[in-house]
Amino acid sequence: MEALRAKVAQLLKEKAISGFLGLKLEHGHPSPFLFTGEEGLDLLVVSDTRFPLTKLLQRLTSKYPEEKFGVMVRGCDERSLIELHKDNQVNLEHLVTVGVACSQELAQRCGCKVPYPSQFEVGEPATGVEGGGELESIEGMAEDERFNFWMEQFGKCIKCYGCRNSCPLCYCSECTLEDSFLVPPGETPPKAPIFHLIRAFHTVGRCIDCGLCEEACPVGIPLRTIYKKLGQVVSELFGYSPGKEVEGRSPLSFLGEKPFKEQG
Amino acid sequence: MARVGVFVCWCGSNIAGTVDIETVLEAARRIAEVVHVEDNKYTCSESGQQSIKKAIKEHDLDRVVVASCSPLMHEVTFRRCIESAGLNPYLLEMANLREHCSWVHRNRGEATDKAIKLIGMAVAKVRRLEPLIPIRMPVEKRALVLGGGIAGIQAALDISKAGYLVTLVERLPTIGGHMAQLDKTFPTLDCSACILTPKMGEVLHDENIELLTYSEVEEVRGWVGNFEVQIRKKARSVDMVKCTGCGECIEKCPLKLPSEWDLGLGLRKAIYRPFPQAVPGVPVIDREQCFVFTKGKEKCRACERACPADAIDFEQEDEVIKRRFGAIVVATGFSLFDEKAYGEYGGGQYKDVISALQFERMVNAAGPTGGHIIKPSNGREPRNVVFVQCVGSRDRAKGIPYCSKICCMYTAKQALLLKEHLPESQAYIFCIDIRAGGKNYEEFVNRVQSEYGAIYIRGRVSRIYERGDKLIVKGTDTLAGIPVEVEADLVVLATAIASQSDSPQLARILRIPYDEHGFFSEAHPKLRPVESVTRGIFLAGACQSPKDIPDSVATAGAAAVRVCELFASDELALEPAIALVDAERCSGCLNCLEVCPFEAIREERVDSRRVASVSESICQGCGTCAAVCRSEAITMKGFTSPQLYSQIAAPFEEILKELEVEMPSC
Amino acid sequence: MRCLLVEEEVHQFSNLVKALSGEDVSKCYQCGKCSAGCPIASEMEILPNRIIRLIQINSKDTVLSSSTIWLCASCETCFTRCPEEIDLVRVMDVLRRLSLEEGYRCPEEGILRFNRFFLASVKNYGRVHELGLMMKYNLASRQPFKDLGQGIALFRRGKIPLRPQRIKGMDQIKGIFAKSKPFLEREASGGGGR
Repeated sequence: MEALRAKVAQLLKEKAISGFLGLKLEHGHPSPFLFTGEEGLDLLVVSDTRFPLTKLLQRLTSKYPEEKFGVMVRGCDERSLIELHKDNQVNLEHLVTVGVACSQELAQRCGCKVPYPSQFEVGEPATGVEGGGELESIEGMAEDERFNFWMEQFGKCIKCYGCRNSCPLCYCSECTLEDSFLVPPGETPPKAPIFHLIRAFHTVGRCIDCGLCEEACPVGIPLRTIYKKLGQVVSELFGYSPGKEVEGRSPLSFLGEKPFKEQG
Repeated sequence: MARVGVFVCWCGSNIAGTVDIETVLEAARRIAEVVHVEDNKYTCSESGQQSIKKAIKEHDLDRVVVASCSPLMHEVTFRRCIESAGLNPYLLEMANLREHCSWVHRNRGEATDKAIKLIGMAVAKVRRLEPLIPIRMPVEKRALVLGGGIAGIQAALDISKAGYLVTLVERLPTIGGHMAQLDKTFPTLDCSACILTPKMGEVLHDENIELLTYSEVEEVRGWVGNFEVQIRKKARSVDMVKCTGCGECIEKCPLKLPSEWDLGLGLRKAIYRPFPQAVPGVPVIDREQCFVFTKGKEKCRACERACPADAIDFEQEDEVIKRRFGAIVVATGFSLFDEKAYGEYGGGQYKDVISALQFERMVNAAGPTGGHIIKPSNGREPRNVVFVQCVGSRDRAKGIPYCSKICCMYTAKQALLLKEHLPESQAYIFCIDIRAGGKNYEEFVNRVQSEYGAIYIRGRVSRIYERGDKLIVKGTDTLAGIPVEVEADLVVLATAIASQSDSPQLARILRIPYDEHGFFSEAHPKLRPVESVTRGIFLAGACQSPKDIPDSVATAGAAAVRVCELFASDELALEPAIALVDAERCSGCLNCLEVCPFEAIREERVDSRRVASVSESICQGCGTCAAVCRSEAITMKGFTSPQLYSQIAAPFEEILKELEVEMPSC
Repeated sequence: MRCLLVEEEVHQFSNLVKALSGEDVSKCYQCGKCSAGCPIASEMEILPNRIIRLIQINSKDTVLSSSTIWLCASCETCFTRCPEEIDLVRVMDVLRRLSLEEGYRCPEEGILRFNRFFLASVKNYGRVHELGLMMKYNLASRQPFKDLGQGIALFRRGKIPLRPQRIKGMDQIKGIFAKSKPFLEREASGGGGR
């Protein structure tokens, strides 16, 4: 922890960064905070509480595109940064990341395969956990049963937008989920399944499986399972894993070879 | 409330034979906001169109659905029709009852049901359509013709004669193309050079035509009426202005190299003209062979010393020219299938097995043998000459399932020329079928058999091998049903017409489609045979499919007319059904820029935010950008999300209700 | 010879050949390259391209009683040359089988006899016993001394063993023959000619 504070202090002092986005302990709770000077740095903490820091960073950098920022990243944060970079939402060259390896307990809780970023200053690398049991059990259902299962789950939705608000890859300035044509205002639950299908289509090929959406959902819809399935399909069809490498683009964001080959 | 009119077409029995029109009319009347329904035997006919116009006036219609054929067929027809009745032409929707329904279904009840649903969908969409105004753009009245073969020459001359400027770009140092390599032409036996060289000269002296030989197109940007083209004029190493074309330099050059023009049968120098009548007559230095470039600046320079006009310029550099054009004619021609792919015919190892184009050079008085037909192995005159047709053509296993169209005729012509040059000789022609469709073609082939004694053997050759100084050609006479062998002195292979090997690259530069064999695709095989689907780019000659000279000239003329049609007006009306970016919604991921096949999208800054922007004159309205935009910031005019969602939801209303699944309220 | 288009469905025979061989003879456009390359074409009454043509026009009797299908040595030159990549060797194999199954008289009895002796030898020993095969065949064709000179020469160089040698995996050979038994039985009882 001290090493982290010292490093951030130095980065700020050298003016290598204009601010550092990390967690600040306030009233006993860690919450996101932009540290811009040495004061208050003693409250900079590392904790098992997760926040979509990179999402906040995206908002920050789009407002101050010329500034350089530092940010605390876990494994999932780093993956989301890579996807945001590919979509021109952040510029990795304008960022200084300070890596944090998650505790074994947190890795267990998240069902995280890679619970650490490529480089880290704090913590010890925990062993990856293979998640996805829910997916198997849902896929094992008969079609009717599965359909009813999902309709029931979607029926619980109170349209709090928590899934979207916590998603590090949701960055549109105007959200389709608030399009009055597709999702009429004032109706809960939102018309099923359009609400959740829009989100699924909007995240496929870039969802990095951090699970923040499911963590945020107050009614316990197994959202991550949907995105896991989509991730599986993308991986099988195109061999692409979002957030894994800086090179290459999401297969859904470019045309394949020979776009001019005669149709039919 | 919209006032929609629905016009159901019988298309003779095409639709009415399968779809119960009366039931369809009944159902259409019940659709909300439909105020008028009628049927017609042929809605596209003059009386059918009149009836639409009349109904628009009488019933005060503000939207029209025509339920007939594919919009590809008649959308333009009906847009014009409703426009003349005072409606915006984009307030039309077509329900395709023919291709999408009656032609593909047999069950009358089900087809009728589907027809009703298709009309329901069209009405759902038409209700939400908005008027669109075509974009008007100025036209650059200068045409680019790519390729200086007979097709390119003809197109350039025709456009020029109509009074427009033309730039003709040819990759080789001379224009003329394959036709300049030929001796006589079938079926009239006109001397190829005699009818071609005057046209080549005409191009050179035409004040409207800018001739750029030894040049290639590198980049094409822009759109119909305003193409921006970058052309690389390769260094010729000879000053085009100073050179008088005397040829002293060629005399003095000490290097002798196999001539590409003569397909290796003759020799050329390192500074050369492909053939004496080349246009322009200015020679070119082959920098890959010339001693000055291979051995050092101080070496040789014999041509420089010989040149009385001081025109040799070893320092010359490639020149990059940028020009604007309103239209482009692609006339890049063909290449020939490489007979080496046939191991059973010697795979290129027998000197006396030659290609038909080599035979053509040999029989040409201006060719490497001065018009003498000889065995390349020993220079003697051949007696038995075997012509093998379909070498590559009609051979799926070799990747060419199509017929090359011209080989039957040129083989017959070559058999005739053989007999005229060497009266003692005998021609044997192995063919599969004789395809002689064309004016005086069949008669010509008959004459070659009856008057010139050519023996046609119906059957493909299986093997050619050497025995002593003879070649044994093993085949079968499928008509007699017996195997045959011919002892030949010379074998001529009629190699298939293939596309230019780099046609896919050119297609990418021009943004036009091509088929699986590399031939450029026409917009419609029957009704738009010389247009590519990209507006303002036209096709002429064999770059589109194998063609003989008359066909090449005809398509060149047709393409020229299309160009003149464009240039006849000062402004172009561009399709308004294109993409539009909502800068407020755009999150600047620029995935749309990546996928746009027309490079119509560029990055822009709005209040320091990065957003995408569509150039409306380049956009072709393909919709790929809208499909990748996750922020739904791109709208396709005439295909907006609300329009399409209503259309999709329309046929499922009842099912959705039953399932208690709700679609967006439409 | 019977001319085409009989009362039956015209694609009947080509469909049967396709079902059994997997080869679609309708692709053939009669270029004749198969016959041109066939090393045995000069011995054939009906050339290979015509066999394909006859299948196309449903001329089953002519095809199945022809000597061509028995003379074919399965060298695959035709297949190698065919522009439509029709595997004539598979087609010929199917035709031989159909000819036997349906009881056509084989015009090349010697070839059929040879094939049977060959198979019998394989059945007994798991491989061919050349000496036994040739003796049996030559005796049956009433020319017992036909290959004597060559046989002695080969024998002296140790190329043909006197006694038959059994292979190890006779169980598997038995299995193969058991599986093909139904066909072989039909073939054995199916003589009679047509």
